[in-house]
Amino acid sequence: MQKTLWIAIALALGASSAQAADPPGTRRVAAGSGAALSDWDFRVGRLEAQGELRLRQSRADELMPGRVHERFAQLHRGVPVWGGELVRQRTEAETISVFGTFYEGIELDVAPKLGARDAEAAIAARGLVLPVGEAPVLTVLPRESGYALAWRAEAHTTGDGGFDIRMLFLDAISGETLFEYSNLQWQSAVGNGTGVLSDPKKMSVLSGSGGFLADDQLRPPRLRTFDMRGNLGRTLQFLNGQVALGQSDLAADADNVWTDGAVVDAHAYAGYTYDYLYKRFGRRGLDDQNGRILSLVHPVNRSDIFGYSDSVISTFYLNAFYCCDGIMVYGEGLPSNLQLTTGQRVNYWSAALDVVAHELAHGVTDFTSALIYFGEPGALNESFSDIIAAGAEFFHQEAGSGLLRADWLLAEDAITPGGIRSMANPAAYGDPDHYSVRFTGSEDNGGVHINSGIPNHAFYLAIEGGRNRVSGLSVTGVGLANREQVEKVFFRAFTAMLPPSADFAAARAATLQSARDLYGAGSNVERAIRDAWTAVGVQ
Amino acid sequence: MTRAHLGVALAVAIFVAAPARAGEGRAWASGVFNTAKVEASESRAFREFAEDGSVDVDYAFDAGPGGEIGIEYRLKSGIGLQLAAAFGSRDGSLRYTAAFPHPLYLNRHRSASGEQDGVSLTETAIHLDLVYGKRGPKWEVVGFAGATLFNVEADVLDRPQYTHAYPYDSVSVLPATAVSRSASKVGFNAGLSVDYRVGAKFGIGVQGRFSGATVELDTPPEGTLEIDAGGFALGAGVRLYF
Ligand SMILES: [Zn+2]
Repeated sequence: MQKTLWIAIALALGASSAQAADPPGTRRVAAGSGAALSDWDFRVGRLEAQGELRLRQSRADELMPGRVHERFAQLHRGVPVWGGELVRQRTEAETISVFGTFYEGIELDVAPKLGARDAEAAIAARGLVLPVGEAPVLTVLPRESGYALAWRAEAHTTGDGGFDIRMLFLDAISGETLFEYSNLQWQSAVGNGTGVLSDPKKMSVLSGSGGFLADDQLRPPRLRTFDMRGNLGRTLQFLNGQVALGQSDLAADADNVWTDGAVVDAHAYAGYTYDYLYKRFGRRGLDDQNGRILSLVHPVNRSDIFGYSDSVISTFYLNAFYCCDGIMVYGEGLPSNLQLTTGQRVNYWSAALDVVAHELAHGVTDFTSALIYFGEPGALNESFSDIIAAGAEFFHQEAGSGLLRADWLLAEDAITPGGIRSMANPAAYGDPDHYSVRFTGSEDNGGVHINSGIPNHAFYLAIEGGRNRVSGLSVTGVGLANREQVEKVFFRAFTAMLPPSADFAAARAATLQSARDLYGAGSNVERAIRDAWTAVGVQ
Repeated sequence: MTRAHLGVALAVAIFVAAPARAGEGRAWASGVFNTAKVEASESRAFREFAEDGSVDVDYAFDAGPGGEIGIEYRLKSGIGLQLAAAFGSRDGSLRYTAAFPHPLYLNRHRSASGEQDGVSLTETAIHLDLVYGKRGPKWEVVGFAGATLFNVEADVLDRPQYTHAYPYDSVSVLPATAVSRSASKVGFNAGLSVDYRVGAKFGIGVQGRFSGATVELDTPPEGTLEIDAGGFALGAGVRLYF
């Protein structure tokens, strides 16, 4: 079972991805018969006698009695040639095959200008350490342009920047780094996590000798969670494109029992949302091409809150947002002794599945209708995110009220009690539930988080049914059990049919078209959606 | 027939004829038919994707043929010891149902099932018995009872293999494979044989023997399968007297 389940994925994260191309004189040997075999068999013997090959291993074949495999490492004037090796398979009587790589015509002085001590100092200067007993080895490094004399060493990263094993090649003449890569072997693993609300979930992560990293290997996209460790400067630099985040920025855990709830929820819920989009709509991530999904948690420390400006507090403590290009940032929430003027507490924003789904849905909008984030299209943009948020919640959680239950509130698992919006009753949060009472001011980009209440409520009425507070019109919904129909209609209309400048009337028209396309003219779904839009005053 | 009934039948049978004399003995070779079907089941737990999974396996082995050789020596009139070695083989099949943990979600196991025919169960048994025999001019009836060392070798289900792909909500199991496991256990046996002499040294005979022990086999990766070895075996064969 192990073999089929544990798909070993060798990854060289954040490393130079390929060695330089072959230098001239590279011979790739695959001799299994005929003249090539006898030629290479002869040459192996001659090269060994000349000291250009050295038998480094001879092993009996476990599967074929009588066969022996001999490995010959290539040397140039006694110095090993990196990657040069011939492997001969033989019986007592004859040679069966010769495979390998041999570099011919190496012209290289093997006297280093820098000594091993110099190489060690250069490694230390990079903040890397050589494990006890490890020393740099003089090596001939084949490169596209020829051959270089190099000190080769396998050095470890130190400190809390994560663990890596770097294979380094330092020029033995100039000291410069000629080539390096990560020699750390990673594979997929599944761990246990505890969310912000003490709920257990699974973590799909990457496992290596240095521990576990929040990098999902089981879902198709690159789904990674970075722990910014309260470093707002680095967070901003990354969001501004000034630095790239690497493996050492990934959220990490030593024993694969993850206890940082903000990390666990951001990572798991990004996966839950991907799954919802895929299973419900067949969509492969934000861009439908399994593009990256990066979550950033702990952009600030809660304890640092008094040192920050209002704008930092509102962005990185009291907010979660979709930045761009598959990047989500989850606010830190408030210290436990602080609360909002509403009396609500603010937890880590990733604690709420609907918040995570909401932000990811902004990514979907970004890659599809790109609804302009102002005025009515902006409110539709927000509403679509709320719709996906509610859809994901009902998809993954039991319907009900309270924490970790699917309902029509937004962010109720992070902003407690009650969350920040209601699709069932927008007015309860001061948001309009009818077009006639829409917000017409300029704040909040023309009320994108306010007027979203109107399409939100239409979506709710089309599913659950009910009476609009303002118009008094009643709607017979398709029922919660059939919500998939309305979800599909809205998803299709919003992602495939709306232009960036769509207003509410366009959303009504597109969803009705979508309902007719999917379920037929005069279908229950079309009727429910039409009645819902009418009830909220959108014609 | 229950074990109690069998015991009564043996007791009645043993006392119907005159005892055989001390210093005599006999040896025999019989073809045997193990009449009992063997059914067994096991539940295994395993850990995968940070969660417990389970496999439940049912085995059914048919009645099957075997053989027995033995030797008996009379210590004194009517009473003696016998040592017998028996071998039996059964064909059977196994079926399993499994619950594999989901890699991405807790409490969302993927169920799967499978079966395999052509698995076998073989038993070897060494019986060491106290005997009591009664003998007529041509006929001899011998009752015996004692301890049995069983060795059972059975094909048990190997870890079920499967493939799956995102979103991992179901698995495709690969054909079930079995691995051989064996274990030994001491049990008991009791029975009755009836011989008919066709010469001073030779005879033919039939026998019935009930034996039993519960043998525990280790199953992969960490399970245990309890098999009730033995059962009722009927045999017929040749006798040699000395
Ligand atoms: Zn939003």
